[in-house]
Order: sequence, then C-alpha cells, then structure tokens
Amino acid sequence: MARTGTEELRRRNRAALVEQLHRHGPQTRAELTEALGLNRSTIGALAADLAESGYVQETTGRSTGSAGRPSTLAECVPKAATVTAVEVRVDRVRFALVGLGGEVLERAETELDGADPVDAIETVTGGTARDALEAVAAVPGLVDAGSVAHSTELGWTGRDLAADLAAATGRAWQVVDTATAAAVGEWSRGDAHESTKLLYLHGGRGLTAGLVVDGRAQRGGSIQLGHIVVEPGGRECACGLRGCLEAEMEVFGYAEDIEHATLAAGMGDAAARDGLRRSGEDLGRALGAVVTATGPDEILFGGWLRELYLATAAPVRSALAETTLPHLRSRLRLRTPVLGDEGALIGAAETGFATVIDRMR
Amino acid sequence: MLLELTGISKRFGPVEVLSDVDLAIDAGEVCALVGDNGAGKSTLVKCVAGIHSVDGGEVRVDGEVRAISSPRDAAGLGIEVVYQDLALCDNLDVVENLFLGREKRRGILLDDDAMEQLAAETLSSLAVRTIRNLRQPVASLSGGQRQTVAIAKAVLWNSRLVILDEPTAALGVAQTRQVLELIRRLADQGLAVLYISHNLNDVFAVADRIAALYLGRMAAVLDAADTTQSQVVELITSGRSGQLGLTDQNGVRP
Amino acid sequence: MTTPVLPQDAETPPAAPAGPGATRAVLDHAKNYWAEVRSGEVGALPAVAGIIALCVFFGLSKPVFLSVGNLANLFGQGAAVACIAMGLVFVLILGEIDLSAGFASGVCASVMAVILTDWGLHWSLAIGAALATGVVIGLVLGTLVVKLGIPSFVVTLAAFLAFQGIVLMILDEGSNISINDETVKTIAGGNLERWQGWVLCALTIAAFGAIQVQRWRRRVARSLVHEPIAVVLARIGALGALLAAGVFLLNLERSANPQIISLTGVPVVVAIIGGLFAVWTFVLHRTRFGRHLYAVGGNPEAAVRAGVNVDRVRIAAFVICSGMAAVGGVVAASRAASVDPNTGGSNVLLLSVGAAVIGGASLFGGKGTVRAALLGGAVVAIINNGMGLMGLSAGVRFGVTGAVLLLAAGVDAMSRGRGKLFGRH
Repeated sequence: MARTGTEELRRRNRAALVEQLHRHGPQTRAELTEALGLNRSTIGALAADLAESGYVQETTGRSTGSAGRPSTLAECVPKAATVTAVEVRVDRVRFALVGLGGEVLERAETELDGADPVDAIETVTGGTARDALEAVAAVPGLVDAGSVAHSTELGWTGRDLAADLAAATGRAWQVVDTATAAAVGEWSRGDAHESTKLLYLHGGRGLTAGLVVDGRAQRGGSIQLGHIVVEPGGRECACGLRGCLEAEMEVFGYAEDIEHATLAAGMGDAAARDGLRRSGEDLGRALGAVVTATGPDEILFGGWLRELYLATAAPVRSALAETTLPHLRSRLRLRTPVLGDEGALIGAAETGFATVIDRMR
Repeated sequence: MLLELTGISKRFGPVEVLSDVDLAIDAGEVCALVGDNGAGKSTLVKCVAGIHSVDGGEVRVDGEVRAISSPRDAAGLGIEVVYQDLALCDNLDVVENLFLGREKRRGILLDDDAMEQLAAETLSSLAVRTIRNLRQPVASLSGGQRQTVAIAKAVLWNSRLVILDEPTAALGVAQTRQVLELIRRLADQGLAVLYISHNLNDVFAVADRIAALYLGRMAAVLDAADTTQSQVVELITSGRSGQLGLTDQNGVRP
Repeated sequence: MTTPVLPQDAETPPAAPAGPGATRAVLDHAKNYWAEVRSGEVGALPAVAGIIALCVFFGLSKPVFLSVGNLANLFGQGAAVACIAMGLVFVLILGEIDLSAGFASGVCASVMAVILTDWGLHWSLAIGAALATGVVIGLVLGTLVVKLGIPSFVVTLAAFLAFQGIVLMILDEGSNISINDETVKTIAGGNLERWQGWVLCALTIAAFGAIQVQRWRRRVARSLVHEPIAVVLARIGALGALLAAGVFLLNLERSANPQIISLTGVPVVVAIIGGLFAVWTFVLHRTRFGRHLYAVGGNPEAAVRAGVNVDRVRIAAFVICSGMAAVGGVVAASRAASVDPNTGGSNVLLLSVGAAVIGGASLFGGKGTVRAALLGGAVVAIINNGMGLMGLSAGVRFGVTGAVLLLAAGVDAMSRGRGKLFGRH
C-alpha cells in the first residue's frame, strides 16, 4: 500500500515539474523548489529521473553579467513530447508542431480554395501528425465531444470532425472550438492566468465564445454568441431564428472592415458612429445573457471584436451594467487578448499538452 | 489607498477652481477623470503632480499626509506625469530615451547593452509589439509609438502612480487602441493610473472607476461596472444624474 | 513568465553561423545600412565621398598632391583647424555656437609664447597655462550664456572682438614672438621614429579590435540583436589596413634631399589628433555626459524633466570647446614657430565651423560627432592644399571652400527634409 502511495506521489511530482517547466520556461533548482513547494533533494531526484527518461535536460545558464558562478538551469527537451495543433479558418488551415516547453518545431499554412479542411489538414500535417503525442484541431463554431454541431463560418451542421480526421490521418484527434482554444492560449501563455473562469469572445465570420475554467476547456463551454436573440422577432438570421446578434448587429455585415468603420467614426462620420454605438449595445446585451448564465470573472474580446470593443466600450459596458446582476459584474474584468492572431493555434497546442501532462500523473 | 485626496481646494485669485474635492486611487486600478472644459481636471492633476500647490485639503500617499510642492516631490513619491510630446528627445533612440537621466553604468562607461536588454524586457512585459527596433531614433516613430515609449518610461522607473492627460488626443484610431491596451496593462501590472480623457469610449475601455468633475466639485466617483454612458454624460454636463451627483448646501439639488 | 508558444513576432536575432547563413547576415546588414542612408541617415558618407573626389581631382591635375611629402604636410596644415572643429562639435550639438574659438586659440597661444620666450619658463608650464587659459575662457563664456541667458551668438561675438584686443595687448601691440623651444616645435613639426609608428599602429588596432569583439560578445551573451561577426571582423580589418597603409607611406623617405636631412615617420601631430579623437569620441558616446549633451541638444525640456543638470552640461560644452581651441592654438604656434596677432585670426574660426558642418554637425543642434569634425577638417585642408598647389589665388580658395560648405549644409538640409517624410525632424 505504502509503496503504491509513494509511487503515485512521485508520478504526480514528476508531472508537476514537467508542467512547471513547460509553462514557465527554464528554471534553476532553487526556483523550482520555491514554485512547487517541494524540498531541494526531491527536486534534484525528480530532475535527474526526468533527465534519464529524456523529458528534461540541465544546462549551464547564461550568465547575468554579474559576478558569481552561472547556475544550472533545468529545461524541457522539446522533442520529448510533441503536439500537432491545427487551426481551421474559413479560407485556410494553419498548422504547428509544438514541442514540450512551447518551442515551435514546424509550422505551415495552406489556402483552402474550396477544398475540404480535412483533406487540407491531412496534407499540411504531413507525416508529423502520426508521431505527435496529441493532435488538436481548433474549429470556429459550436463544438461538442469532437463533433461540430454548428458552424456559420464553415457552413457545417452536425459534422463528426474527430471521426473524419481519424479516418483521414489514422490517429485520434481532439476537436475544440476556436474561441475555447484561444481562451486556453491566453490563460496559459497570455496575460489571463489569474482568471478562474475565462470567457473568450471570438469575432470571425461568425461570433462564438469559449469558456475555460482554471485554464481547462470544458464540455459545454463552447457558446454560440452570434445566435443569442437580442431583438425578438427581429431580422431573419441565416440560422433560421429571428433577431440573432449576428443578424441585428449592424457592423456584422462588414465585420472584416471594422477598421474602416472605426476610422470613419473616429473622423466624425455620424452614421458610422451611430452604427458602432448600436452594435456595441447589441453586443453588450448578448453578453449580459452569457454573463448571467455562466458568471465569468474575465472576458476577452478577440478577433475583430477587439476593435469593436475598444471603439465602443461605453455602450458595451453600459448595456452590460443594465443587463447583469451587481455581484456578477463587480468582479468582472473586460480585457483584450495579448496573443493576437496566434491565440487559437497556441491554445490548441496547450490543450494537447494538458492531456499529455494529465497522462503523466 | 495609494493616493487619497481629501477636501482639496484651489483658488486663482477670486476664482475657486477646485472646491472640496475628494478622490482616492488604489494600486492596480485605472481611475478616469472626466469633466467639461474648465471643470478643473488639469488643475487637479497639476496639484497632484506638484506644479500647483493646494490652498486647502490633504494629500495622503500610502495613508500618510504629504506635501507635494514640486514635481521633484511628486517623483520622489513615485508619481509620474506622462506629458504628450515634451518627454522625448527626437535625436536619441528608444533605449536612450527610456533611460535618460537614469543611465546604467559600468564604471564610468554607459552600459548600453544592459539598458537595451532591460528596455526589451519591460516592453515585452507590457506586450508592446509595435516597436521592433529599439535602436531607432524616436523621431522616426509614429505618435502612438512615441506615447508608448513615454508610458513605458514610467514603468521602467518604478513609478507607482502614472498620470496621463489626454494621451490619445493626437492619435489615430489604431494607435489609440494600442495606447488604451497599454494603459490597461499598466494597471494590471499593479500601477495606479489616473487617466484624463474627453472620449467616453476610451474611458469605458480602460477605467475601473470614473470620477466626474463639475465646476470644480467632484460630482461623483463611480464603479465603471455600475455606470452607464448616459449617467456619465449627465454628471459631466449637469453635475448630477438621478440619485447621483451634487446637492447644494440645503440638501436640495442645484 | 509569458513566453508565447508561437513567437512569430519574438525577434530571433540573426545568429551568425559560418557558411551561407553568414553571407546572408552580412547582406542583410548591408541592406539595413542602405535603408538608413535612404531614410536620411547619411552620417559620414558625404564627407568621405568628398574627400575621395577631391583626392582624385587634385591627384589628376597635380600629381605632386598625392606625394608622401604633401600627405604629411596636409596633416600639419589641417591640425589646428581640426582641433578647434572637434571642440566646436560640442557646442554645435547643443545648438549653440562659439564664434570666439579662433581668437581664443590666439589668446592661449600668446600666453604660451610669452611664458616660454619672454619669461623663459619650462615648456610644460607654458602649455599648461595655455590650456588653463582655454578652460577659464570656456567657463566665463558658458556661465554668461547659461546663467545670464545671453544668446551664445552674442556672447561669443563680443568675445571674438575682445580676444582680438587681448592678443594685441599680450603681444605688445602686434609684435611677433618666436618660439625656440624644441619640445613645443616638435608638436607640429616632429616625426615619430619608424618603429614608434608601427607600435602605435599595432596598439590602436589591438585596442579597437578588443573593444569591438568584446562588445559583440556581450551582445551575443545577452541575446540582443547583433551584427554578424564577419562585419565586425571586416571593420577591424579595414581600419587595420588603412592605418598600416598610412604608417607605411609616412615611414617612406619624403625629403627632397635625403643626404642632407632625412624626413621619415608618422608626424607627432597625427598621434596627438588621433588621441584627442579617441578621447572625445569616447566621451560623447560612452559616458553619461555625452548622452546628456545630445539630450540637451535634442530637447532641453525633456532633459530637464529627466533630471539632467542642463546648466552644467552646457557650461562643460563651452569649456571643452575653448579648451580644444587652446590645443589648436598650441599646435598652430608650434607649426609657425611663432605667435603673432593673426594667430587664430582671419579665417581659422570660419574654417573650423565649416569643417564641423561639412562633416555632418548641424547648426540646429542635436547632431554631430568628433569623427565628422575630423573628416570635415580633412576636406577643408585638402581644398586649401590642393588649390595652393594648383597656384590658385587665395580669393579662389575661399570661394571654393565657401561653395563646399554650402554644399554640405545643403546635403544636411536635404537629408533632414528627406528624413521628415519618414517622420524625422
């Protein structure tokens, strides 16, 4: 009994050490001791153990310029565990092979030109998808258990993407929605690691949102923000409902051109300014419903919603203040993402690494 | 509270520009100061920055009463005012500007490499990606980039309260967005920010609290999360909004 | 710690491996340099181009211009102006001017001559007194400009007139004091032994190389953007080759009649100017004072806000300028082996200002290097020397020097204008 206990403890500590180095980069033993709350000899034994199995290597750190002997740094061996990350967009597929510690080993991008994304993924990942420990695809839309329930952007309804990808590439895939992936990315590699319930809004050709709890993707965390009804009986939406956010939001029609709209508004175009204001109010109201339902502590405005939010923060926050309960909004932070365009691909890779590290425990 | 103003008043001759103004700013938050032209925003800022002395009231920093009678006093307390264009030397590069007056040295030699490295780290901690070459003269930067350098200087020098007076006034739309994100990041890193702006969108985009001045008096200080745009507009233009705002001496609203 | 996983924007500094990668890095470097030139950062380019063009022109029309004897002569002729120009760069960077530098050098030279010849004291005392006089002059001028706020143009114009008078008074209404001290005469007239020239050359290259390589290694260690090592080595090699060629040429026999008197070796004045150049370049670019000088010249308001002691920096610049004028005066007196009321007078000041501006210093402040002053000084000296050889009158020489100055100022103004399109001032 006792033996299994220590063995299990050791596995947990190993996983914790790998996770620490993966997320925070090369560190000295002293830093690891402090961060993990283990004693120094344990860290030494773990590091030696992990070095033997090839996950970690110890190197002489670069000198800081001051006197004194340079300290030994432990760092991940990127090739020891790799993850294939793919982001599907309406017109292209982006791919990265990421090693433990976050180093990008390969990356590629291919235009779709009307081809099926699954075929494009098979080509773009080449032989590497097979060797990676995990493969993760980020897709814009409503995703549940590997299948895409609805995607305005790709025009899919109920496609079992995980199965299709497995058939095409001969390995298992995880499928997450783009907003959730970006949320994972911002939490693990961006500026949102203090958030326990992070909501990421993604503005692409459709509006989606992803909720992650403690940096982990949740089943049911994929939210169809664009199809929340903000105007009952309003304009008809492509999805069949009436008064959806996507149908009501004036700037949605020229979302790709949000730059133009904000520029015109900035130069004093009254029509553009009104359009932006109403769009901000619509977004704020839809957001009010999501906040009331899920209670996040931080919201990130990604994709073109970043531009929209920074240009219309006043109506967005006013509408949010009018449609949510005080205890929900008082500790709510509204922010813009720091990883920009890269968030979803980074997050897809991090989703894979979360699984890899979980398996070590 | 990092900075606490209580009962601040300031007269210029017979004109009472500030009367009994209270305001508190804590570390890690952006407090926006709004108000019409002539409401006393700039005067209040100059009092905190040590350019004007106050005629009445108390300034507390970390709970202790302090007299701020010169910009040097303010700087000594970690209060840094970012001036629009006065703060940079066009003929020096980004690193040289960031460290101007506080150069790092090895012996009598300037340690340019250490300064460059520290500058790069500071800018990346603020997620600034718009300035690629730290060795280009500031003259070749855009307005937004210059403002970024001026703000980053405050962070580098370990200021605790950064005061920004209309930092986006002269900027284009895209550059304004960059500066807004930078302001938000300053507070998220634990600095206190006092942000003066006319643009309510910019205010709502970054502020945690909104302080509205009306004719030299503090009409209200509100949580941005509990406030709507129309309330702020009313506070700016008439000094009150519904239950919020100023009352006159007899408890009757003016 | 937030290291993005996919750092397409985290600039990976171009490493400098051997092979094709290195070639590419060098090409990139050349491309960057060219981009800088195009955006108005012309630097020393016009002056260098001017020197080459003038050498080709005079060399073709008067082959004797390119003789080793004339080359050595050039250094002697240009030395005094180069010294004064180096000092002037400091006030020009501030956007100020010192019109009195020429006659300040005359005053200092007269002080030296009187102590040396009339009083018969040791040369070290005489030169020390000359330099001290320069420093005091700088202190007075700087204080008047900085503390009383009188424009430097006016202060130094007044000093220009006053110093002319002081020279006359020191020299008893215009008599001529000759200098017989051998040590002082060596300053502008003597030559180093051949081996001394080579040792100096080797030391200079070693020091320059060590500084460059050390700096490169530090930047690599801090993983900052750095030049390819090939460029660093090429720069060291180029300087080495240039210096070695210079020493080799100057070590050749250049006397018209070697049987009677042998003339070989690097002129002492070249070593002196080289040393001053190294010291002031170091001060301008590697010390806090130098950094603050540029800052005050660029935006005094910002410098004040940054806590720079602007007054002290400005006074120091005037002190350096007048101090270097004193050095120039000593060199000029040494070359002429006498001091007369015209020492440092006539066109010395204007040629010095011209040299600094031709080299790239700007009268608007914020810009200028010691190297530029030297290159500009070379241009001025070459024009005078070459046209003298061609037998042209002094009138034509002044005219041409003026035209070149105008050309240089024009290039400066145009490069500013060009820079402005890219947001420079």
